[in-house]
Amino acid sequence: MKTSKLSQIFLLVVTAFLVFRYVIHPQIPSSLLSFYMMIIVFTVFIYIISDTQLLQDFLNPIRSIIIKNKDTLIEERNKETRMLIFGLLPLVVAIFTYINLSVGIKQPAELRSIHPAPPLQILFREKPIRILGLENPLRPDKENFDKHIEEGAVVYFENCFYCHGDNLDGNGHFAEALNPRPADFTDTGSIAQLQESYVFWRISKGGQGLPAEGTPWNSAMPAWENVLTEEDIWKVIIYIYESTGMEPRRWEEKPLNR
Amino acid sequence: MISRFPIYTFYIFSIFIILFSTSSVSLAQSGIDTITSYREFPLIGSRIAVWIVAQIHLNFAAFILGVPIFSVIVELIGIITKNKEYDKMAKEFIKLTLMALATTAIFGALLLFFLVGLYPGFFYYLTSIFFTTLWIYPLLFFGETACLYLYWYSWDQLSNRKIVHLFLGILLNVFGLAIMFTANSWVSFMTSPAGIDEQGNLLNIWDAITNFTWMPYNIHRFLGNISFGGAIVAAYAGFKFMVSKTDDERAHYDWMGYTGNLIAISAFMALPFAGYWLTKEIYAFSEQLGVILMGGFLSWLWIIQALIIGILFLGTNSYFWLGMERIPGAERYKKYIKYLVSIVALCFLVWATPHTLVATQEETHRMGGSHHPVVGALGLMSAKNTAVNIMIMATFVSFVLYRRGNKISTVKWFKIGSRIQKILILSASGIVIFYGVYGYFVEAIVRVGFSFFQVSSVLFCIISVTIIEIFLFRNAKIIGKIRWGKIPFRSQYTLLAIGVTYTWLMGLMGFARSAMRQNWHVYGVLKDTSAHAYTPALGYTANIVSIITILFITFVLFIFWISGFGGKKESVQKNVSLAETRKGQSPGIVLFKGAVFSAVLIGFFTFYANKIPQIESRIPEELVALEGKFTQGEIVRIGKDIFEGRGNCSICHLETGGRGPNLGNVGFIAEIRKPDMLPEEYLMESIIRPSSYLVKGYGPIMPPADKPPVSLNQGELLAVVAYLQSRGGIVTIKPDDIPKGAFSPISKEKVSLAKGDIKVGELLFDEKGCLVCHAIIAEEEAKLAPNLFDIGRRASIKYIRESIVEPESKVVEGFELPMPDYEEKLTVKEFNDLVAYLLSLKG
Repeated sequence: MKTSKLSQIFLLVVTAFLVFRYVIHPQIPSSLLSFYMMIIVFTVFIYIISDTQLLQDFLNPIRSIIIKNKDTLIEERNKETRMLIFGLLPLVVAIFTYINLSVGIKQPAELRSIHPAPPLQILFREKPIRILGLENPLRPDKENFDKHIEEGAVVYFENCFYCHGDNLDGNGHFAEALNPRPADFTDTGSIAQLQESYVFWRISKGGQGLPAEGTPWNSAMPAWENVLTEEDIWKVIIYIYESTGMEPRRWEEKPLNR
Repeated sequence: MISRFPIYTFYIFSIFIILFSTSSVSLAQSGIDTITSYREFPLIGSRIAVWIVAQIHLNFAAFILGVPIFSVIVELIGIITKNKEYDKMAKEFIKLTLMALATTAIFGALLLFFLVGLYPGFFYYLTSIFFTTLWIYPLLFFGETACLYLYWYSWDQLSNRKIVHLFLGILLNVFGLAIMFTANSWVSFMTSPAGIDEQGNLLNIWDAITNFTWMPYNIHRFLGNISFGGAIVAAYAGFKFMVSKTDDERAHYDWMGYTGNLIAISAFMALPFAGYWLTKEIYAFSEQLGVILMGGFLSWLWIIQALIIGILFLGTNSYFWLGMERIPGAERYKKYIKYLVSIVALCFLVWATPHTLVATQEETHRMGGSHHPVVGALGLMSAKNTAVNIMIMATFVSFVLYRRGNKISTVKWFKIGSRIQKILILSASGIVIFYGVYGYFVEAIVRVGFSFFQVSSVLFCIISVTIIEIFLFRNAKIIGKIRWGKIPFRSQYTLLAIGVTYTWLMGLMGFARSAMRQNWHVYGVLKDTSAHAYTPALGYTANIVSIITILFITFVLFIFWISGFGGKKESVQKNVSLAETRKGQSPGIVLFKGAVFSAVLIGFFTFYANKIPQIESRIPEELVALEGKFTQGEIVRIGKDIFEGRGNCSICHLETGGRGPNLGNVGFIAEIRKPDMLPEEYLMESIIRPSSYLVKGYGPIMPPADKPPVSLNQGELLAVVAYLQSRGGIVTIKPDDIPKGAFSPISKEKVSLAKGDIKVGELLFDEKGCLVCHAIIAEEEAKLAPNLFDIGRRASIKYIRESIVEPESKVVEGFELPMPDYEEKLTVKEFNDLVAYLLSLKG
């Protein structure tokens, strides 16, 4: 049996919804789901209006239900469907309204910028350090590179590993209790996207040092400047890059006229 | 009506010149004090006033600079093909430009008035850098106006000397480009200042003009103007189409709308590439600026932008597909639409996937982190570049199919030729996808370079396929003529939607350019210290952008309405001569329907931008800390900022009862709770030793405010106490209680916070041995070093500070004897006292 265009398109949208909702695993946030569905519905709309024949095919079933035919008589065969639809419509709207209005104890969605812009300069224990353009001072020292990695590892396992885990994947002992979870350094989206100075800033200032868009105080990361020395932090940075095999992002070439 | 326009323009133009000459002179006289001064615009405030006027001016300017570019090209095509229709259309384009010119000038003058009046300090600074160009600019504008009128009025006279006429058109564009390049030097300087010294004084004007983002802005705006001009022209044609009364008219406007849209999309396809270059240069100039723009505060702006660009691409494709209905034979290609629409939809999904997701904490936890392990990868640059390139390619294929509609190739090598085309398209897509995927396996800086390969393969593919296409369909058999005007009505709404969306996008991008500087007028040089220095959130921005869009459309409609008067006689004559007339819709109904349609579209963008969580970018704290003494009110305000901000007190102490007691009336309670203690003592004790005075029913969970993680210093603690007292009690903290400079740790950069003691400084000047070299009495001869008797008048505080800390950077000619470095030899207090003393030496 050939289904009408209306039901074909309806099926298409529903399938898209099911794919986004259930096939992608883990489940995507509801904001993204509605964003995707918005795009799908919009594209389908554009597709329908782009072809007059298709538009007619699409509209005909709807017309046959709600519009009177030429003899100003409503087609009898659609009577049941029409009554059903018009009977159910207020109910659907009511359910939808109820869902929208009944706000439970769930906290609202928030927008957390994972990598907000770093400050130009920070005060590390009252000492001004310029973040912009800063390189890891220990990297040029090739002779002691392995030693730095080893010492960085010690720093890591004495301080960081409880949350960030022994595989550096953010699955430490405390990870389950933290929200947001500790950063996963093995993810290409984390340290591989950043300059070492950025990581230095994050370690020194912790969650509370984030700007507003980074929703400070959500992150439980302590400000390590109170515990670690500058050198410790540079060492541990070398360690996390080396042991995950990630390369720190390099600075863009500087313009000459500044 | 048109004939009066030169007079209007001249009138406005004179105002322009007078304004320029007077404003710069008067400002120059009033001196450097104006740097920090602002005036407030009534009701809506200065920021919104300047914002709206600047954006409307910019939209009009984009229109009148963009349209002449393609109208000259259309005229050229007319000359080559000897088709009168092209010439007619080019003339109509210029007519629209002419109508918009006066409005552009009005808004330009308004913008200037507003800047001079509301931001005098900023304008003074910009004038001090770009004084030379401020004179050239009006002259260029004069040239542009003259050329435009010559071009327009000589259209019929020079009809048999087309080359001369074309030359005028080219000259018009040269002037137009020069105007844009000049104006861009100002705005790009605000983003990436160059050619100035550390104090912001001008060193080299040419460096200031050709600053780092100047050329990228020029190219980006050049393409953007063409695209915008095309879209507005298409929307205009769409409107005219719907109100057309005859088939002839309808055919003409259908064709015009098609051309406008084609121009818009052609320039639009190149726009992402110019955008990448611009962004790359911004990153190269300042990584921080780049991150604020792309990854940080403004990152969600690009999701909205992606949504809009996706809509524009889909809209354009839809217009091509609908256009097939006016081409006999095009139904052969209709079956491909569903594949194309799927490809575009897929790209759209990837293109608009945010990197930073809006999610509840529960959802974040479920994903195992802030990024989604599958979808998260789509939020990165590689995926987006791939998606937009494929989207461009699909749109190009739509266009090729559209062009083929009524043609059957007669060349023998058709099969091979079209197979080569297919291979080209597929391999270019393959290259794009390959580099997109490969981008995940290389470091960021290399990945950025990949977009070049992607872009060039797409461009190469488009160019070569087009060339093959031309040869394939030379002398092709035509199935039937294109039935211009026989396109479904709803296609015109597509054009309208594209025009409206473009205008909204212009507004949004204007905000992006301005907002990435955050609280800087000139990034890193001149700070915005006005009440409007913070950067608003996206929802607020969207509201203003929508207002701007509506205002702009209203002005455009008004102008088009006026321009309709000139052409009326013509159309009446036509009506008589045509036997077949079909009734068009009445302008009122079209206007109403179009307004409702546009309102829905604009409303949708606004709604979406308001729906996502809103983040404002507040001014960094260093600005909050004021110099010198505070009033009691200021101390309370600082306390409030700490309470709600850095101190994070308001997280638990809610009005409606949280984890800590409600402090709504704490000032009063502090006065009565412990009769043996002063209220400020009680409050201070409770914030640094919270467990000693627990309120019944609350656990000892509050962290001490002077210890990490909150770590408030003495001044901040006192300010919080003052704020708490202000809630229901009497504030007893006096300005003298706050230690000097207490709100900021003392560092080299921040010593300015504390004002020094002049008398102590005078003693120090002798004690530290400065007198050995520097004289301080006017009559005395300069000894080994410059005489400092009037240094407080000659030099700024910054200069004095730096010459003490880094003397070698401020060597005065004739005094080459090095001054010892005092950075390590002075305490912060001594340093401030010394600076204060030197500043007091006014000669």
